[in-house]
Order: sequence, then C-alpha cells, then structure tokens
Amino acid sequence: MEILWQLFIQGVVLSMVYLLIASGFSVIYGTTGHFHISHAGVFTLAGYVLYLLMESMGLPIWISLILAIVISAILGALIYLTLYRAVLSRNGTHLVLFIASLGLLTVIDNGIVAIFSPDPQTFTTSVEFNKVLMILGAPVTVIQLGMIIIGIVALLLLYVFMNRTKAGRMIKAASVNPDLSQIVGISLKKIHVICYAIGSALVAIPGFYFALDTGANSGKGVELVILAVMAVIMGGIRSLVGAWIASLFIGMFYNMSILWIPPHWQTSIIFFLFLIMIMVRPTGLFGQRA
Amino acid sequence: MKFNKVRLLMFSFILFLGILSGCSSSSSSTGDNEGSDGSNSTNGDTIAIGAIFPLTGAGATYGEMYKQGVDLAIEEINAAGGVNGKPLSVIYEDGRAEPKTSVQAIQTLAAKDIPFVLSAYTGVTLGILPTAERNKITVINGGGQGDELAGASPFLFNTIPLLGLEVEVLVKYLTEEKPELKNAYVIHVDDDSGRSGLNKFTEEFAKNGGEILGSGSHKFGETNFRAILTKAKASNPDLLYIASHGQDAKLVIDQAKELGIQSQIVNTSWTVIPEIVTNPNGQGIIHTSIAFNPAEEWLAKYKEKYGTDQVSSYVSNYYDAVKIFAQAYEYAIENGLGEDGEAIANAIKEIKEFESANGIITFNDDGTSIRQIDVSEIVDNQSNLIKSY
Repeated sequence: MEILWQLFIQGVVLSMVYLLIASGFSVIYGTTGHFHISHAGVFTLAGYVLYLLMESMGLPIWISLILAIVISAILGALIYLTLYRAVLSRNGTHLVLFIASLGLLTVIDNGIVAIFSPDPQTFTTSVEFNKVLMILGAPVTVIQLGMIIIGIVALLLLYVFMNRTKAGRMIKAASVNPDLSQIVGISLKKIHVICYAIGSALVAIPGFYFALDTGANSGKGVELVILAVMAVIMGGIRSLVGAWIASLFIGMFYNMSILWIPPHWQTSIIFFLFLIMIMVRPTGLFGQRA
Repeated sequence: MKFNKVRLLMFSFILFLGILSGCSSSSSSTGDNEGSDGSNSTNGDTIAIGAIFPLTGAGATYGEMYKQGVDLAIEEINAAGGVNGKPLSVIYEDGRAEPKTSVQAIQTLAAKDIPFVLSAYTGVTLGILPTAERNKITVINGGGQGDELAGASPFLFNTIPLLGLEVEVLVKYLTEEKPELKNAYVIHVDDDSGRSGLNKFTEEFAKNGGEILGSGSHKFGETNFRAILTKAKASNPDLLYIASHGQDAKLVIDQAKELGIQSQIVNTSWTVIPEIVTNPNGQGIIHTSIAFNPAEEWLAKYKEKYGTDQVSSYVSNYYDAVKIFAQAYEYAIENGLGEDGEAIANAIKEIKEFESANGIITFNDDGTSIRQIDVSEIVDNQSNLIKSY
C-alpha cells in the first residue's frame, strides 16, 4: 500500500506539470487557433530566466519567481506580436505559423546551448529547497510541494478569471466567434496578447520546477508539451476542465502504471489510448460537437 | 507580398529540415590547418582524422574529456614533427551520443575521405560501422562499452575494455567481499550499453547465487526517475546497480537518496565523473573502473595544458587512440600497406601491442582490449581503490 501512496504523490507532482502546460496551451490554442509549439521554448526560457535572476543577480527566490513569471508572460506576448503577427499579416496560414513556431523553438533550444553550454545549470542557492518532506510516508521535496501549491493557486485564479471577469468572458466570446466579437468592438489583437501572456505565465511554473529540481536545461520541453497538447485534445479543445482531467490522467498513468507496465512501453500505450479515444469521441471528453 | 510569403515558407521549411536532421551537427577543427580544400585529407600537407563525440546533450560531460585526450595527443605529435612528416589535425563532429546524428556525421567525414574516425557510445559505434566498412574507415572507440562491440567489425578497435569485463569483476568483488548483499535491483538506460549492463549483471549475479528483484529502464537524457526508483525502493534491495551514464546517473543517484533508498549503490566506470564523485549523494558508491596509473610525465603534460591533475581514464583512452593511429599510419606507409583506412586497420592488427599513457595496451583478434580493472569506493569526494583484478 505504501508504494501505491508514494507513486500517487509522485503522480500528483507530474500531473501538476501537465495541468499547467496544458492549461497554458489551451488558453492560447482555444482562443487563437495557433499551434504554439514554442510553448516548449517558453517553458525552457522560464527556467533560464529564473537561473539568471537567482544565480547571476542573487535575488531572493520569491522576488525571482514573481519577476520570472512576468518576464515569461512578456516573452510569450512578444513571440505573438513579432513572429506570429508577421506571419499572419502576410496571409500566412496556420500551418506556416506552426512551422515558424517550430523553427523558433529550435532557435531557442540551440541558442541557449550556445550561450549557457549544453550542461544543465544547477542552482546553488536552492539547496534548502531540495529538502525532503514526508507526507504520510511519501517523500516530497520542498520544490515539488511549492509547485503544487503555486500551481493550484494559479489554476484557481485562471478559472475565476475566465468565468467571472469581463476580460475572461471577452476571451471566451472571441474564441467561440471571433468575427462577431470584432463586430461588437472586441479587439482580437488585444485578446490574443492577453492569452499569450496568460498561457506563457502558466507554462513558466513547471519550467521553474524543472530548473530548480534538476537544473535549467534546454530541449526538455517538447515532449512535455506534446503530451500536454494531447491532454488538451482529449479534454476537448475549449474545455479547461476537460484538459485538467486528461492531464491528471496522463500524470497518474505515468506513475501508477509503472507497477505493471515496463517504463519504455508507457508512452506508446498512452498514445494508443489517445488514438482510440479520438476515434470514439473526436471532440474530446468535454468538447461540444461542431 | 507574394515573394515574402514564399520566402517565409522556404525559411520555415529549411528550419524544419534543420530540426529533422538533428540540427546541431556542428563541426569544428583544431590542429594547424584542416586541409582547406576538404577533398582528400591525406593528400594535402596535413593528415586529418575525424572524431564523432557528444559535444552537446546529456553526454557532453564525456565528450569534453574525450576531446581533451585527442587535443593533447595531437599537440604532442605535431610538436614532435607530425605523422610521417605531416601535421595531424582533427575534425570534430557533434554526434550528440545519438546513432542517427552520428551516422550523418560519419557520412560527412567519409565524403572528405577521412581514413580514421574516433567514436564513443555503443549504439553510436554500432550505428556508424556499416558506413565505416563501406568507406574503409578505421574506427577506434574509447568510450562505448556494450558487449556487442566485440568482433563487430574488422575495422573496429576498442581502447576501452567492454562492460562485460567490468561487471564480471564487480560481481566477483561483491560476492567475495560483501556476501551479506544478496539481492539487487537494476536501473538501466534503455540503450545497447545499458541493456548490456543489465543482462551481464543478471547473468553473473545469478551465477554467484544472488537474486535479481527487478529492473527498471529509462530513456537517455531523462530527468525524472522517481517512479522507477519508488518501485525499486518497495522491493527493498540490498544492492542498487545503476547502469546509466552521465547526467542521468547523477540524477538517478540524487533522486534515489531523495526517496530515502538505503541500498548499497554500485556502478561501473560510468560513475567516475565529477558530478557524482564530488556529490554528497555519491559518497559510499562502490564502482569498478579501468585501472588508471598514468606515467608521471603524462600527468604533468595534462596538468600543464588543462590546469588540473584530476584526470579520468577516458582522456587517456582517446589520447592512446590518436597515438595508435599515428603509429599505425607510419607503419602502414613503411611496410607498403597503403595509407587508407584498411591499411591502418591491418597495421593495428600486425602491431597488436602499443605503448599507451596507461601501460601497454594489447588488442584481441575481435578488436577488444584487456586492461586491469579496479574496484573503488567514493569517499571524501574521491574514488579510493579497494582492490585490483
């Protein structure tokens, strides 16, 4: 029983990583329709920004975290305002935008290697955050617990923002019917900038976690983002709650299934389940039929 | 407008191709010059050899050490007048420790008529062999230890003893000196070398009466090992054999300690990297390594160039590889064997015994080499020798 509980706790940690990445992607893709694969690049950059703030500038962790979230949000918005708008203003299709985004991701991942070397940049000031706590016999590091708490707060804020504020309702309107929204005076550009900023702030949180846990490293984001995208599709494109449930499933599957399934089969099985699911229900768990 | 769109599409497409082709297969070279026309490497006024090393990615720690050995040997050879009167240079290709990227790298080198290539990693070395054989390129591996490398090709020589030999010694030591450790769990990287480690350890340990409680694999370059380690912990093994290398091994060890695993951790020479030896979590690990007693003179040269005397046997494996090439090349020319890769391979087989930075190295007929294996324990941030085999 102890092992089940320990795997469950590790599952919660991994689920939170997918939850945050998927929520960020869902906010961006659900509204703009852009397949923003550079989401993985923002994930990586966030870790390095935190590294620069904490290690190079010596700022305390709380100030660094807040600053790094803001910087990540700005970076996300900048990617939209510069690269994506340049593509779209020249009538580039969403496919061209996707390829451009993939190109940007390569530039980010390799640029970081050129600047920081391929070695992971480990935090020296974060040693105390690697301390292990026991939750009813299951070991959890301070960083993991911190990410879970910050993640839950961020997701609650996101839920409230999307459902209870005027800006959130405008985003929903723009995602369901962009043309009509423009007619009633909603600026799509402004909405899109907000979505990119929110999405990038969300993906920054697991980015920080990975950096603090095993060192800031480039190239680690793509696989996580692809699985998170799968969670978004499984949950239903515009359904935050759907993406959350699917992310929880993926995170838990990776940890709990290790009892019965060899690790090298896990990813194939997840994709196989995904294929079956979208054949049975192409709109996802909570997606409305078109 | 239309032109811009086309250009953008082309730009994106090229970037995409970049990603497909592994994107950072960069190359650089050292030495006096590189044979600037790049056509026939040995016809110019310099002799160029190739090296396919992990210069980026999770294997970069090792790549850096390999490179040190190569650069040191080249500097020394050139200072003494070069090979057969011509300066020696090396073209580095970044194989990222990935077979796919490395196969592209050897094709690049083959196109430049390079007769001799240094390689590392089992999967990579096995992957590049077909291209090497087709183009008659002699390959020396000083890093990969998978047992499939034995006899893999008449063009392949290994200056590093294969993993099987190390694991045999490790299990022998454990059964003789630590008979109280009766069962083991294996964590291994899911590649040729990791599976070699798992299979050999399972075989040897069982033969000596030990029990394997289970095993868990992970991808190369993974960062989260907590699930497989939690499962390992639940079976409460006396021994935890970690057949992972580089950054992966470091993180497995860190996370094992984080999860409170008390088992005795054992590993092979893969452990001997600064990230583990000087890591608080690495203390107490028992590991094998290839006996490394370099000559004082060699150590002094190393220290002069790199400013430290903390040197690993990987450095000397590649230092030796370059020196072996130089000797074999001169031998081939003197004895009229020719100067292509095949001639070099034949010369190595005929010479058989070479002086090296680390004692005499003798090649077996299957291209493997035998060296003394040490068992050590990591104490106070260094590997302390316990016993030699």
